[in-house]
Amino acid sequence: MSSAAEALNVGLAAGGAAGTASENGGHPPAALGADAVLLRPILHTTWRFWVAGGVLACVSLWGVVAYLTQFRWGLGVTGLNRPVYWGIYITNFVFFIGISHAGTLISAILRIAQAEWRRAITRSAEVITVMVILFGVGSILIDMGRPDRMMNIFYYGRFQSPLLWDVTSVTCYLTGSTLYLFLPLIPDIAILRDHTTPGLRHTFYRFLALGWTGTKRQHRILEGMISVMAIIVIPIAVSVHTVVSFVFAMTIQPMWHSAIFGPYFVVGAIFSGIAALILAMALIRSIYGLQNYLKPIHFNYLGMLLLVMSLLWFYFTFAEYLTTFYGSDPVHMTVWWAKIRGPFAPAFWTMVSVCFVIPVAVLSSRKRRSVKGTVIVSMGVVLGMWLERWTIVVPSLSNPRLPVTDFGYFPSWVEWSIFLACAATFTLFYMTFTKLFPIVSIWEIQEGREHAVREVSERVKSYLPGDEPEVGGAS
Amino acid sequence: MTESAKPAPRWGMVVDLDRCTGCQACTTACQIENNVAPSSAETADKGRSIRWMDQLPYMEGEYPNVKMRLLPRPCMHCDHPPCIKVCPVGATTKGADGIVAQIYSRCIGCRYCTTACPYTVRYFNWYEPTWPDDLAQTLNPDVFVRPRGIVEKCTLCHHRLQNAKDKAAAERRDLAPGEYSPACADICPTQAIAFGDLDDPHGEVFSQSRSPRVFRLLEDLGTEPKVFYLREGE
Amino acid sequence: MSPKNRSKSLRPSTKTPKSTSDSVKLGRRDLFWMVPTAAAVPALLSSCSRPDPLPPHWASGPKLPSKAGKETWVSSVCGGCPGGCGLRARIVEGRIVGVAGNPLHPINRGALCPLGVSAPHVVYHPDRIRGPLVRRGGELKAATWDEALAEVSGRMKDLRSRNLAHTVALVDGNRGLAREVAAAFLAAFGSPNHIHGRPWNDSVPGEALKTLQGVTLPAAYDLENARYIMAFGSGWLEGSSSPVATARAYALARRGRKTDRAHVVHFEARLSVSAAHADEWVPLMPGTEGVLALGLMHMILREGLEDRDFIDRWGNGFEFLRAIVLRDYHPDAVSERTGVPTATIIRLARQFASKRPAVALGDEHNGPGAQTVEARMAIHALNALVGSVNAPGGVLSPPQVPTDPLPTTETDDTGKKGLAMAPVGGGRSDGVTELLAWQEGGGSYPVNLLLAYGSDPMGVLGGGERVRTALRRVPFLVSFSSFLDDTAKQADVVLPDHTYLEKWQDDPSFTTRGFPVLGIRQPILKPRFDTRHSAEVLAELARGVGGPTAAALPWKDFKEVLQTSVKGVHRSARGSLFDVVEAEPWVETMERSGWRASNLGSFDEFWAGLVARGGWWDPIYDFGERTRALRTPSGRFEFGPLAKAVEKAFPGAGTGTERGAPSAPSGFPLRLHLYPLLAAFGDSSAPLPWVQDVLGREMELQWGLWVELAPPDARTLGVTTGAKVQVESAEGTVEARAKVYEGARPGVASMPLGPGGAAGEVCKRAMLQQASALAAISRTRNAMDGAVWGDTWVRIRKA
Repeated sequence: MSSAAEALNVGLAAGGAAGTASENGGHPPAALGADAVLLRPILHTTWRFWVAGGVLACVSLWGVVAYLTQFRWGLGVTGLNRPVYWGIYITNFVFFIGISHAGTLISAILRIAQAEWRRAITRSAEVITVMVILFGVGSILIDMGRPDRMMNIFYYGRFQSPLLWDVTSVTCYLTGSTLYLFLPLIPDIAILRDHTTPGLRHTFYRFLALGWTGTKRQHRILEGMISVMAIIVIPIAVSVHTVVSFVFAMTIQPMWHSAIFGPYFVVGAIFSGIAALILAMALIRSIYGLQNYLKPIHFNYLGMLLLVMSLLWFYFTFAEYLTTFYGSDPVHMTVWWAKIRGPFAPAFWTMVSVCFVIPVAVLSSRKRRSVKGTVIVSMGVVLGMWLERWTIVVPSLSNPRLPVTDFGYFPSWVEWSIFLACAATFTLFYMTFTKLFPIVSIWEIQEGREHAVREVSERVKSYLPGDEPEVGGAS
Repeated sequence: MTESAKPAPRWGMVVDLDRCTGCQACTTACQIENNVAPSSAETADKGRSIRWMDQLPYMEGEYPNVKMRLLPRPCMHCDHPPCIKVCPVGATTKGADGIVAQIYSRCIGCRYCTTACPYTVRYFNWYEPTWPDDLAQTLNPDVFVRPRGIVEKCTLCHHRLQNAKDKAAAERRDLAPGEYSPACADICPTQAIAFGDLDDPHGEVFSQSRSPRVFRLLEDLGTEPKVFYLREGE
Repeated sequence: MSPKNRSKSLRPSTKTPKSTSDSVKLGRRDLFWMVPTAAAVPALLSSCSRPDPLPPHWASGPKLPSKAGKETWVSSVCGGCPGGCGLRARIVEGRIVGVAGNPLHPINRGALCPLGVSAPHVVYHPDRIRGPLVRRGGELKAATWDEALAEVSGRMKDLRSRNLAHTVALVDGNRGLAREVAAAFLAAFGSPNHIHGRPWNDSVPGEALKTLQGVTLPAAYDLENARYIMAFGSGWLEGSSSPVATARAYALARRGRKTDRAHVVHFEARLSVSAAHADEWVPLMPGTEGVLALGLMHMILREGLEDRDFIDRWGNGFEFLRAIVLRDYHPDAVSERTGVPTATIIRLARQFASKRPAVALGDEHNGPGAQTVEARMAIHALNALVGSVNAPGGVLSPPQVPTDPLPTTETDDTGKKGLAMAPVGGGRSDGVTELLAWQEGGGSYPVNLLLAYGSDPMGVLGGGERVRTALRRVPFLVSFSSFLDDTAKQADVVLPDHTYLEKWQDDPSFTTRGFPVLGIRQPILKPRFDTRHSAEVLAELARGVGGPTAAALPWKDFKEVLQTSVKGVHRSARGSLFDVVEAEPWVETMERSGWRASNLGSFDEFWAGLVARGGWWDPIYDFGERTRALRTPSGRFEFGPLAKAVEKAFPGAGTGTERGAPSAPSGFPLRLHLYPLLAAFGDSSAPLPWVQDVLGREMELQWGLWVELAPPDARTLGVTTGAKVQVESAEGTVEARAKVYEGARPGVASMPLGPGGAAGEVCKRAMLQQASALAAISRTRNAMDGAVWGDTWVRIRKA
């Protein structure tokens, strides 16, 4: 309750300043008041952006070189072998798709739950989703031995293969998420259109604004669509990570063939997604000086969510490993021991500590759920969840049912370069987005100030015992 | 289907471990018959040697009561192959004759089948296959050389079946038993590899696959391998 | 139909509906076009833009020869090892595109080993020598045949003129006619030094067999009919001189009979592939096989289980041996020396003597190995003890193939003088070791010119650096190799031979049942390079030398000599051309009962049949003909030499030590056990990558040298599998990867002997390169030993 009240107070305080200006509303240029700070990253670009962008672009280019090497010579340039046919690319695929759950799913849930504190964070979350899916899909394409035959998936696609489920699901997810990102962007694009002078950019915004003028009808339609999308996108998001897990779970390989893989992966995805979101928010906040928008309270709430997910994740992990251990199928146990005290033990125990021990230790206290605390935990969680995927993909393949000489798998420079480049390109895209569109939804903040405070107070009032006549009073 | 139409044969293999001496002629014969590029120290160190017919060493026990069992291991050509299910493009198929085949020109190299196969019998072309100089002269003209980036596997020397069928068709007769057998079975010094129609009650493999010594690899997975083993001993 | 055409033909069907699609109503007629359209869309999609199965930028692999062209199959004989398997080469458009076993050939019946399957690669091998080479200014340079031949014959002529003809030595790796040609050459030239140059006893018997039975031909082991097989030492299944024949016999012994599956016991320091196939593997200290055999003998004699019948009728000097064995080889003492439990010795001795026919296999059968002549004799005496000499399921003495010998010619006085000189090493069958000792100062005269004829004495055979040093002292070295092997690299002149699929040659051998076999090797394709048949080159050299030498080899074409020689077989009117398996027992029965006489037809028919079917054989073994098997002066099996050797060599196993006994010298705690892999060990095999790929598969550390260590030893050393280690002996050091092996006897470090031949471009880091390195660290304990890598102790350090 206290947090809701706080959210309310913040809204009131911020709204007070901008209140009169926004009443004029609509078109032409709405006065943004304090929210003008949200347009600053778009309208002013410092040298620091170009330096950072340049560095990231170099890393990306390096990745391109690495990929071209792979394309020229074949997958032989990787560290993959028999039996470890899948490695870092598939790990990245699962990882990136997992991270993508940061946005759409969290944002959609928060929207549906009418969590008012969402307003400042939904945009940055949704962008992560759209951007990162590209690299999830990209990882699969990079992993293909014959990328030139990509179209065979459409010519000869067989729905019996879980990989095709992925293709379908991820495509839906990408479409849905893009739409879901775009819809709430429209009013902000309109604001940008109104704040730019005729030119290339203006034309760009005018085109994307789809003639938004902010009329009541438009608002009604937009909000209707957003709520529909929010509902549609949740099952898609859940399905995406479920089928990603099915890629593994549908085989009969040791420690892959598990019924809880679907929910386990979804939980892991949301977990890593929240962590990624926290990191993104922290960066945006400090770089663009948006401390007033992305407040400690947001980190606190997300920290709580992270804690919940950490516990859930551990619950699944525990269930998974205990079941395997108790069953003691020797084939599974080989993989199990490889993780617990074999060659994968360092990765495994790092994962357990950064995904469970540290998050629980840090986040369980209100005091430590600060910006700094959550950021530190999030960094660990992102790393840990990558390791989790690694320890799912590689150990099972290293220990197949029939004994195969174990040659060990360690990614080659090509694989590391491509991995780094994916991360760099993602960051670059994300940065570029912040230079084109407001990373905090302006209109939603405004709406928060104008309507939500009233709505929330009414809602809260409706929860309390009030004047309504008692129904069916006891006699 | 007319009533007179004979059902397609179910090609299968019985490996008698009591005969096998572990010489691996089958491995080499297979590699050469099927134009598998030679490995090198580098490929071998990386675990990328391609051996459609491999020899699996199983060690049991402790010194001095150690047992080593050497199993020649081709593709099992399962009746319920886990690899076929997972292929996203249908590049791996099972024909009416039960042979699990790979359509090289369709494979996209996702390696899902290689990870799904519990026997790890599927191989990937990490690089373009190369032959040292003139050695390429000895390539078998009947068999396609697989390019890099795709998965390949034991075909039970399908080209031999095709040739035998063509020959039989040209001579207007049915395929005779024993007319078709893969290179590994043909070359085996000890005749440890018997090959034929598992459903033909007059054939050798029919009776051998029903021997009390018989076992199959990972039988409990329900993949129904068509490669049978006869264990050593009486 | 090309995709383009198909899409064209489909287009109209998609256009038609568009023109009529104004109608909103969906009638039955509309379905008419809708269905085909719906079907056509995916079809179009797939036909128009289906990716090319092999886009140009991927097609950088080797060009596949087109299948068009006539396919022919030609019979020949494999030359990968001394096994003598028949093969049939598949020829398409003048290229050998594969080989299969010759199904008619009685040795292999259509089967081949990995080496045989790789036969075409020998021909097309990139490392082949393409023409004669002559050393000029310290380097081997290409030369013409005339130059190269003149160089060699000039030297030989010079030596001969200086009465030094006997200082020419010829190390011979051939058998059959090519060997006879060399003998005739040397006899006419005037040198007694015709040295056996192979690690197998494939054309001459081993010293042990020669001593005990006096035979002049190697023995056949009738494993197929044995009920009990006891193998001593290295892998008899993998490394024997005829691996395919051995494997076939093994399979028949195991499952060829309705009942009586043969029982196999294997004594070796490590769990080898052969040991793994035995019913019982008994680890023992390497080098104690002889002592163990005597221990078993002790038990057999003490319990009176020996075959008195055989010993009384055919044995000589038995009582002498009996006394010594009963005195010195009590199982307890033997157990102490060998590490085999007393109870095991007793049990196995009883089994061996009671489950007959039983056969004992030592290195005399296995080929390359580390057993001393004494040990081999002791093992072979076990066979005599249970009556398994010249008996079914035992050791047989196959008759000679009745080819006509080369016509003998007289030599001149110079020649006679040369022939009268003492031969290098006394003409024993383990020639190269003899040559080594000779060169190291044991000889009475220096060898001035050495012809390495179908042999690579400096390779694995010789013991690496030590042999190389010894042979480098030979002023003039001539190699006949097709590959730049160790000897060819050091040679002054290289006169490259054809590979075995490019030439005419006879291949006399025998089956495991002692049936003589004559395989005919014929050129499957024209020589690819400027190489010449070695026998013809010898004839050329003879002409260069002139005099009686030239007169001895008056011919030019080896095929003619071969045809002449084969006439003897035709004349013998025995046996038959290779025939289908089914005919074998039939023919045998008929001939045994005198119902059938061979009908080989006219000689031309016979020759045509030989070439087409691959050879001739005589599926009869006359057990009554004892004189063939026992050719000692006494006409009996000589136990005496063994008794003498045993009395000297293993004085009291309980008290003294065996010569070169298994006690660790200080600082070298591990006994080195070298074992051959497959048939790939030898002098005639080129480095074949496909063969490399299967060697040592069970150890999972291929394509490089490894050293097997027992887990406790590995723990002490702190090494794990895959770790790089230095193996050091008093002789030298070699680098290898460690393999912690559960099947290794503690206290023993085992290393594989790679295939012989040259390490070339194809197998750069192959283990064959280390073969000579290996030999460098092992040492000869005695020049009289059968092998050069006998008794070596090593220490191992992490690299």
